[in-house]
Amino acid sequence: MTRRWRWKEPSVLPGFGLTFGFVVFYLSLFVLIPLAALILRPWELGLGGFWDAVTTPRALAALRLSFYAAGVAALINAVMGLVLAWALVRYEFPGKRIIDALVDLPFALPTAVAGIALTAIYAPNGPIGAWFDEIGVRIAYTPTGVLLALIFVGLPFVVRSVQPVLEDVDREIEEAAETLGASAFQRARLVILPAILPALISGVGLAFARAVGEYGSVIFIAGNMPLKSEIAPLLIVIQLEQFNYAGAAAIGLAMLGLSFMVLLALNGLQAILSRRGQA
Amino acid sequence: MPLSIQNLTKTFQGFSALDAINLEVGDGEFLALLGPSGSGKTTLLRIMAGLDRPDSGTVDFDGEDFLAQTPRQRRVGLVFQHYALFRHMTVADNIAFGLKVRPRAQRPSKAAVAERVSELLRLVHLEGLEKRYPAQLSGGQRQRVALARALAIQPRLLLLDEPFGALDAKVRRELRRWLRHIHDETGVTTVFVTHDQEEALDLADRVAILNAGRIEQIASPLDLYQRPASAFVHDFLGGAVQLPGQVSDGELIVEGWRTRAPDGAPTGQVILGARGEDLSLADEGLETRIVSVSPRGFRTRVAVEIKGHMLDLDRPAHDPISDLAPGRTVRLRPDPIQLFKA
Amino acid sequence: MSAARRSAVRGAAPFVIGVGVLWLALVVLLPLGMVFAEAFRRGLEGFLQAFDEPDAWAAVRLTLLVAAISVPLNALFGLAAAWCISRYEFRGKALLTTLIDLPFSISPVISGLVWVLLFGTAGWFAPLLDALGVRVIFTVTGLVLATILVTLPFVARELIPLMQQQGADEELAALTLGAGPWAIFSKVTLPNVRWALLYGVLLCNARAMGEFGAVSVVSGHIRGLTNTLPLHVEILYNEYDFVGAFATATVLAGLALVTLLIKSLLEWRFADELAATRRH
Repeated sequence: MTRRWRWKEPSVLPGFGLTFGFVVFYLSLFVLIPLAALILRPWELGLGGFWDAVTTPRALAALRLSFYAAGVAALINAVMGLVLAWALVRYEFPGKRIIDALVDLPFALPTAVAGIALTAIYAPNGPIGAWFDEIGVRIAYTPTGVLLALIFVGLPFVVRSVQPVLEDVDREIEEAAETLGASAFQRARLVILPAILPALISGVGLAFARAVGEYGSVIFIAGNMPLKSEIAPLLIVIQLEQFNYAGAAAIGLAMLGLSFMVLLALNGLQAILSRRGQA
Repeated sequence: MPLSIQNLTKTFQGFSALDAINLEVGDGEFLALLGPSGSGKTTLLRIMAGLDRPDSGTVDFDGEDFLAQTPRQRRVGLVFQHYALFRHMTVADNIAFGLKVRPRAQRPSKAAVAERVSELLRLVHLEGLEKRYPAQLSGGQRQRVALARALAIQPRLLLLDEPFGALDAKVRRELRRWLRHIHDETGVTTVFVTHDQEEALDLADRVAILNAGRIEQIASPLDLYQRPASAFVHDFLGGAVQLPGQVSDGELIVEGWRTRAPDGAPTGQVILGARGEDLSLADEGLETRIVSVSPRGFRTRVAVEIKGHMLDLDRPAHDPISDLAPGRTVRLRPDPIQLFKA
Repeated sequence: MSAARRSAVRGAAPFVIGVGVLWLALVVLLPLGMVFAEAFRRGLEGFLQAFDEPDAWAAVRLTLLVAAISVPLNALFGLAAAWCISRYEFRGKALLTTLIDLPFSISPVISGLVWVLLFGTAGWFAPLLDALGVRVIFTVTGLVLATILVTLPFVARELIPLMQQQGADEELAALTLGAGPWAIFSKVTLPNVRWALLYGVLLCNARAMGEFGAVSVVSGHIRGLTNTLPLHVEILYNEYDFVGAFATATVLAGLALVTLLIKSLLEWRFADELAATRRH
């Protein structure tokens, strides 16, 4: 029997041509063509020019800050997100529904609003900033401020990734571990943590990806000092204002490439862990 | 013959789901497609409904080429295995759906639709539930809504995919009787798919037995039981004993037992088949060791060993075989002797 | 099941809840409260003053206009994408799904940048646009393009998993009962996904109205013309009109709170009719 190569299984449901055509057209128009511009334009500078554009001290400092702060913020969110998810799934307490809803506020609150609010809090004359100012610590207009803003925008990701999985952790497995003499801490570490680890990693990846590219909530609090507290997205904007399209695209492409490498590594880690979890 | 299927073939990704199927279904007939999972019975049903297309072959209905028609044009009532009721419609709206979506010119009036819906609700014994939503019904009730919905369009052919598969045993038996009653009342040509041999034999006028994409046998339940065409059919309909043997010069040799082969038996390598109740104690027959005897109410399960083959025999309680003590070695003789080509 | 029995680490409950809630209060509630506190720093009068200028209202109108164009388009796209991904088997489906999710992992600034690369003064299509006498960057068109790109996945991501989980049986049943394409869509598919659609539209709209980075790149910040509400907030803030900036921000914060409220209501009331990951 010859096996014909088919790219689509036949179906009697109407509308494939229409919907598929529309989806491909729409994606081409709004995603593929624009991204093609991002991927192709930096090379107008030539390979050397591209390299020079992304390795100027200013660009390197901006990229380093964006990725470093995003990484630290994602790790902090991993720990605190896990605590929050645990509290929301495992315990009953008054106001739980509202707390649960508020977790999504960073998703819903426009980033510019978050940015000016965080600045107002942590500026040297703000309620918390003044307190730190007295002991000689500055938060706003430093990389610490950047970190704070990135913690804010990344908070929901870990909670929302871990929550459903934690809800699904089989209570019987936990009880079996208990009957086998595992202590409470051992149960958490040996039974629950492996089960939620893939979800935790995927939440960390999402929080990281969001934080690397974050702009609105950061630029107000960052102070935007070149080489010190200037993030990569801001540098893109500055390059654009100077009509250096290729340079802006080069930094954008470098950001995209680097964050895809990080996400790819996290995906790989997650795949290994999930496979182990199924055994 | 209203429904005539010739030489139907269908492959899924190199796997042959249906292989040269020929099938005729008579007007008003109640036919069962019986087979294990993966035998192709649901695929065959879906092709009749128009949800799948065959690779080759023909499907004709009343002289019309069914394959040239869309499911819409075929006017075939299909009851899905999991009912596929519209979750956002009431029972009444579900049943009325097929009437309401007709082209404006053919659409019955509101009053006529309401009339037809209440008629069908009466037929399926769901009066008073018309305002309920599918989620508020029991499995058996959903099943009946699905059937009423399919009957509403006055189908030329009614197809049911494992109609009782998702129900528990008691509801299943009730609905079975009731489905036969509906069929006799409406007279609509009906094909249903099942993997439950008892269900098929109980309900259908004729049963088509499918195995690995081929029809092994089409016959009335009694014929299937008495004259299975293959070892597969025999086994699928509850054959307990299948032993390899040899026929030459009119003589059958099975596990050391020699006897005259019945008339018309195949020659060469054969398989001897027998049901538990076809066996009786005899001076000459298969040498059998009784392993265990477990009474189960009206029936008794007797586990035996015949030359290294472990077999379970289903016997009436308190007959000569089920009264034997475990450990005894006896001779059992099958009657009739059924032989299949190996 | 009592709370104590559900806990793996008994006795840790107050600690875990306390740390979690305090953290949320510090990171999320404090900034939210700050918005309102700052907005009313000079009393109700100071607050209302911010809305006493035509530029603020122009920004409101523009924000509504941009959302009114981009959200319905992305909703339509989400329905089409969910239909073709959940109802058919074809090669390249995984690639298509990845492409739909892609805008979520792109910086908003890049989502604006790409349009400048295409349509800016030194963009690929600049000569064409010049010849036609059309401008995209620094116009409403640019704002819409950037907003569509940023919010493209929202509706599709709610509908695809739900429709995959619901399966095609109801549509197939409708087909055998004689329903045509439009009847199948409007009577079966759409009612089955209506709450998930609303959910996706809600999130899409919140992001569309609140988007800052992408629109900031393509807007040009022309007051009264290409300034959306978030951009207006920025301008006021940079002009040291803090009360005005925060007063305007309360409108956006209110939008966020209403969004969260409706979202929670949907999760609570129609859990079964949302994608599984939304049911908490």
